[in-house]
Amino acid sequence: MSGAALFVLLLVVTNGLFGATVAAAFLRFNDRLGLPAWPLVLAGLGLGPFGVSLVLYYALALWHGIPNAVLLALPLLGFAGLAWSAGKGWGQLAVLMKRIPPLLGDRSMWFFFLGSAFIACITFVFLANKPLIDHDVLEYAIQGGIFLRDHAITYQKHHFDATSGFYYVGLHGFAFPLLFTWEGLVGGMFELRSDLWVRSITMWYGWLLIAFVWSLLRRWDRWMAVAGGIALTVPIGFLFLITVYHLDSFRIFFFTVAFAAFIALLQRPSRERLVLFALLCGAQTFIHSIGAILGGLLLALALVLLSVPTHTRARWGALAAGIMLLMGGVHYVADVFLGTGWIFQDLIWF
Amino acid sequence: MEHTRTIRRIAWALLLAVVALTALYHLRWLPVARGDLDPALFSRGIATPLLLWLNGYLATFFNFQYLGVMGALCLVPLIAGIFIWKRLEPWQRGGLAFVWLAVAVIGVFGGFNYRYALTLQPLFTVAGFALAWRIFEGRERSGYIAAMATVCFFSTVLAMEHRQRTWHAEPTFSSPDTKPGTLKERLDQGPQDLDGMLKANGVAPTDTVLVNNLPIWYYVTQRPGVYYWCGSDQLFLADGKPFLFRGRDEEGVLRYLVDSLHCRYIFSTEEYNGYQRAFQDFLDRRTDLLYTDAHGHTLHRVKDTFNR
Repeated sequence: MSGAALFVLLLVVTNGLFGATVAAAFLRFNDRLGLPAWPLVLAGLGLGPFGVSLVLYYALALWHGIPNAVLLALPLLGFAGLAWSAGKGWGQLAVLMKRIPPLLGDRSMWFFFLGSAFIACITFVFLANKPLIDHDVLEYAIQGGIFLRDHAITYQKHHFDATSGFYYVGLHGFAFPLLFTWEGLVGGMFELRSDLWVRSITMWYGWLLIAFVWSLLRRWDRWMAVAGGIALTVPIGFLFLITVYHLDSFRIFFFTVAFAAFIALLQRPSRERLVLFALLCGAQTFIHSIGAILGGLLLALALVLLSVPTHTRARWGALAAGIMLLMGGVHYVADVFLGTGWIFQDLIWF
Repeated sequence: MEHTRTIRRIAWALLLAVVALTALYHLRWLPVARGDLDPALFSRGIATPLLLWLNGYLATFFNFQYLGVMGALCLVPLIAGIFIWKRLEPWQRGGLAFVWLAVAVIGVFGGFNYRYALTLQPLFTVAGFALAWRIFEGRERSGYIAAMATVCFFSTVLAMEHRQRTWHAEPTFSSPDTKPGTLKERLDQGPQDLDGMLKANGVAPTDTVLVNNLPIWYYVTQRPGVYYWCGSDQLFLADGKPFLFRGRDEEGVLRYLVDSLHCRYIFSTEEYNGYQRAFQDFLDRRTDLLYTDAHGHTLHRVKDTFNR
């Protein structure tokens, strides 16, 4: 197998199948969520690669020395179980997919399709010509490789690797480094070392972010979605967001969908919307420290402003906090008490 | 009716004000050459007190260089929201309160990095256009929405033009869009065949090398390194992050490197070397330059220590 074949395999399975599984699971509950279908599907697609990171995190943190075969099987089994439980959500997802070809007749959507094709071209050009060379992403890549080599995630005051002398200075949740672990794990099965798929994650979440904003604006007006798409994507910072290999598109996508879920929760409070909000908010927490801080603020504000009785507020608060911890927030608790101290140490700005 | 008309006039005035602001920002306030400014602060666009506010603490709204104008367009509605707080619905209050808190957090965390300020841009884009949809009607609505997108485009044109001027005025400016060479050469600025270069320069696979903030060392080689960042003068060791130069003279640094860290080689870049005067002086006086590549990666060897 070549690096390109591994890339296609991971793209189809992790982004496609796993993402579609979460999307179908969300759609299954959408009669109770009462949310627009497309933004919900896009949020689900984003949770595919993230879900793999989360499974790997718990496996490596709780079972040091876990065999590769078991580590590989856990995400597959987890998503297979979710796919089975998604039930009628698959039918709803199929109906939505059938609505895509007729959209070609809508001239406003040509901008979206052309833009998507352009991003696909950019992705191809960058993957072919730009290796991993930038500082931060290399830090994540090396740490992800160390997780795989050691078959363990441990918490210690200093993330120092005695074998190489590498010191991981990152303080954020491990969602992004664990994507390197995943590609290394799957590649290792075929005796391949590649980072093509993880490099494409930058563009994948950049595209999901554009699609999500587009799908929201299109609810008002299809041509306003075009104008909004232009306003979002023309700044130089956004060009860098989707071309410079980093975790920012991953982080900002989940921040944006979590904020949308926050607004939806306040507009019409329900237990289902609270769970969705907590899932998405927890995801952005596990990616980056700034997401952890903003996620905490979102949760606090939601609890203050929710128009529900006090005892419901308390129950919902505990439920949401619990889900956010399970979605990766627990990393920061462990890091504060067992590890580096997180942001409560003397920070070094690079 | 009169009230609505006033709000629409304010919205148009706001759009014109943002055009003027982004033009001033790119054409007057943002320097094109480093001059005497701090290199680190210049590269982050926060080298003057005004820019420290625009691109630092308030970057979410005003970092036109990277973020466009949607943040600036949302600023006035966000301020107005505070004054009509009691008339807002719970979800509007939640959104408003969160944005202000997020701006404060990002201002503290992201005062040096546009990437953090980018966090709120999708949110501002949706909010800005949704607000325009609500304020305007009919053809004026279409006109305003088109004008918003046009102003975003205009701001990016100014930012690109500023990059071109910086490229011509500042010899140290480096970016793939302004570099010569093929696309691959411009995008791949990493060291080429690092292991081969080290072998050719006599560095044994077991020799420990001081690695100045270049994690690619650990990604592409299996060689031991001591991680260091001259910008903060900190070594990253098993038991902490001690300083290398602080509290030591050059002789002391040399002894510490060779006797305690067992390092005789230093892998860095010409750009990074300039981040600390003491480090640059040490390289100039106490080491021999063995190798420099086209992208500025450097390999130095500590002088006259091999007989000790």
